Amino acid sequence: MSLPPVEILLVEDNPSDEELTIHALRSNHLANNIEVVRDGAEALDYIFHTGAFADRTVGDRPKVILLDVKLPKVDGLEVLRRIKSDHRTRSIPVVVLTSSHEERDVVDSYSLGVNSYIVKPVDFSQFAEVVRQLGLYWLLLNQPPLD
Amino acid sequence: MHGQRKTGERMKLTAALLALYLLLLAALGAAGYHFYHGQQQRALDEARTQLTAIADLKAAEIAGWRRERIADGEVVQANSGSVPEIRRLLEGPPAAPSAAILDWLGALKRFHGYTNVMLIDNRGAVRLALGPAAPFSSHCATLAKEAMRSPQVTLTDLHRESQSGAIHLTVVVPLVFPPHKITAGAILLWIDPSTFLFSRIQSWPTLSRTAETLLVRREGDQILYLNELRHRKGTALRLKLPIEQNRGQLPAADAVSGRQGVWSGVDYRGSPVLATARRVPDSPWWLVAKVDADEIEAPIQQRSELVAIILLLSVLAAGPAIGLLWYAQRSHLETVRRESEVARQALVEHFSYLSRYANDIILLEDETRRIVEANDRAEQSYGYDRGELLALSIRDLHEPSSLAGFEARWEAAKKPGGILFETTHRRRDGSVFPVEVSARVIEVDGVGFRQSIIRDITERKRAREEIESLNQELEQRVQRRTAELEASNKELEAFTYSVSHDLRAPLRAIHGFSRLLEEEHAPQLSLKARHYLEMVRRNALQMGNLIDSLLALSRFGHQPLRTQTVAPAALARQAWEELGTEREGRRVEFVAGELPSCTADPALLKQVFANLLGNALKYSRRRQTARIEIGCSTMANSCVYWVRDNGAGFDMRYADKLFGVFQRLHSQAEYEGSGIGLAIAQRIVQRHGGRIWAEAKLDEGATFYFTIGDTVEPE
Repeated sequence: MSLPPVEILLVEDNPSDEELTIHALRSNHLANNIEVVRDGAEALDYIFHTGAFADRTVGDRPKVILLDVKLPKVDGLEVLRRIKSDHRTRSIPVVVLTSSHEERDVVDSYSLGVNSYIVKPVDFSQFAEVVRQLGLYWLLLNQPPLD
Repeated sequence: MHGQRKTGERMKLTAALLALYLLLLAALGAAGYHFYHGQQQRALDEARTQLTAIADLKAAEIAGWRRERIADGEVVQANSGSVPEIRRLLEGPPAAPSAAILDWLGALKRFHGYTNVMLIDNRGAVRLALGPAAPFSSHCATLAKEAMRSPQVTLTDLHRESQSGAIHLTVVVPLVFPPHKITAGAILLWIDPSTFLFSRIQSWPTLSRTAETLLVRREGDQILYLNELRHRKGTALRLKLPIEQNRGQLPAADAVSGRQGVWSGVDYRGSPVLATARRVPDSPWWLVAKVDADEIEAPIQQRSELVAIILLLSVLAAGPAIGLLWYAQRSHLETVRRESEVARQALVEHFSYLSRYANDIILLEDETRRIVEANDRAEQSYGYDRGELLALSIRDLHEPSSLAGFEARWEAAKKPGGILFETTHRRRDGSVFPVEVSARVIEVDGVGFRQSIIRDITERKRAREEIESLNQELEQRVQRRTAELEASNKELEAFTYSVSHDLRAPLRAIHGFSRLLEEEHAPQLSLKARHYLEMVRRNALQMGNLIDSLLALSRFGHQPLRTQTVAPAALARQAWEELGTEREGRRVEFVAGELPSCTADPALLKQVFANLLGNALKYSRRRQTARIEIGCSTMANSCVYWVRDNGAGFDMRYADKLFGVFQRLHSQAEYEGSGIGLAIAQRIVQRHGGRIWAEAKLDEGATFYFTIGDTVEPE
């Protein structure tokens, strides 16, 4: 069946974070077309139409990928690297969402071509605000590349 | 061996000295002879020169005298030609001479000192005579007649007056009255030779004992001496000696034979003379000048004798002098030798004392590698007794396999400073032990020996090996520790990383869901429930802060220091700028003093300022105008940076708690904060080798001081 184009790909392993993120997106009416994958391998399968998502249409590209750094199976930075080194997927905006201030992560993300790096605050209201702004920016303000 | 050599040497020395002495004598003798001979030659040459000169002089004088006499005669001849009376007297009958004639002839006689002036006719008869008209010797008449044959004025030879025996020579002035050609007669002018001639002859210009000149003439085969000789009287015209016999001896004989030059002869009295002769020109005379040989030699003789005496005396004196010197030298040498002997003896004793009680083995080997000396220790160490050792070669003490390179080492011992090496030696019982050998070549009485000082280094080797193995162990341990440390650090990093991610996520969930709960089920919740939820959220947030603080502390405490020369003023300013939000809406005065540069990690130092300035701002919030100052003071020779505020201050009683982790001196209600800022500042300052402390008064502000030390933690 033909699904509406996915606008947001959320790569998040933590169920609480997942729930809260989607709640925040929903409360800002940005959650219509969200696909959630829960580990790095799944993320790659989805993006590259391999494995479980082999039957996905190639033309299907999310408007933004929200990527957590610490992921099971394949690490977030590795996923980022894969996305950004493949010409088919390179232009998809990737926003790394993480708890980590760690300098190393920041540097690695940017050197791999991340478009944005956001730290998830503990305070939920702040978190919600962050999500709202992200959503607004990447889904409404930002002009996606034309395929 | 010693004594023999010394005697031999002594004999050699004596022989040498003797030879030297004899040589000296010979040299002196030769020199003396040479001197004598030289003197002799010189004297002879001088005498020759003198004789020659005198002979020339005298001969010339006599010849001159003769000429003058003849010249006088010629004057008379010329004058008498114009006196007619003369003619008359001569040719006429005997008459008395006129006064004029007498005057004239008298004047002549007086003027010239003639002993007689006679006028004779051509038959030889005396017509006039001013002097004693003594009978005219026939000899004289003959002479006159002879002379009158030619019109020349002539001078007769010396002849003796037969009656008086006086010697005369006569100037015969033939008178010819033109136009007659024949001689009418002659005027005879008698000269006494002793007035001038003989005195001239007999005089010798210099002072001489034996020298004389004499006149001789040949008479047949004999020589007639004409004057009175110096050394014999009664010789004038009397002494006659045969020529032939005396030729080659008598100077006069050689003279009349025509001998030239200066020669040696034996004179009329038998004395050896040096003589020379001259023919008196225009006369039958020879002039002989001679001087006795021993007069010539006398001064030489004298001088030589004197010199000889002096030489002899000096030689004689030299002998004993040299002898004395030699003796003195010998006795000095003796003394020196005795002293050195004593010294040597002392040395030998000292040495043998040392070597006996030395802790190391001391061996002396000769060139054949044989042991010639060994000390007590050697006996102990090798297990041989002294006698056995002295029969061994040093090679026998070696453990066989260690003999390789033995010869090379032996040679090397000849280098100055000798050689030091390790090897293995063997005892009598066959056991081996490692040794360190110090060997060098020494010379004793010109013979080479090798001295070895041998030390048993079994202990040393063992200790060395132990040290090496300990070192290795230590190395390994260090490596292990380092690895452990590195692992530990890695663990910490991983831990920190984990914490930063994994702990926050649940907190986010706690906070988030409690919020959702409140929002979505607000109507169902009582005020108290809402309050509880609020508390849950607050605690979650608090925990988040604590985690952040701990992470910061860990990071600042462990991240590597990247030190460089920094300007604290710039860093403080940057930190101040970044605190912009804190300052919003407030009146804040900021005074930055001179901050000298230091060596620090800029990011960390900035953090210190950030924390201190942040605190300063926070705790002065209640002031109308917050006044914050930074500066640097010199305290105890070091530079101390400080940050001062006019805020709440604190009670100094609790000052030691200030820098503790999570320690606070104010409640969260008064001033929020995690209590980690100062702990981080302290950690950073400590890592830079500095100190941090604070002074404050409650409600009057606080000043925080810190130093950046010289000894910074290594990178």
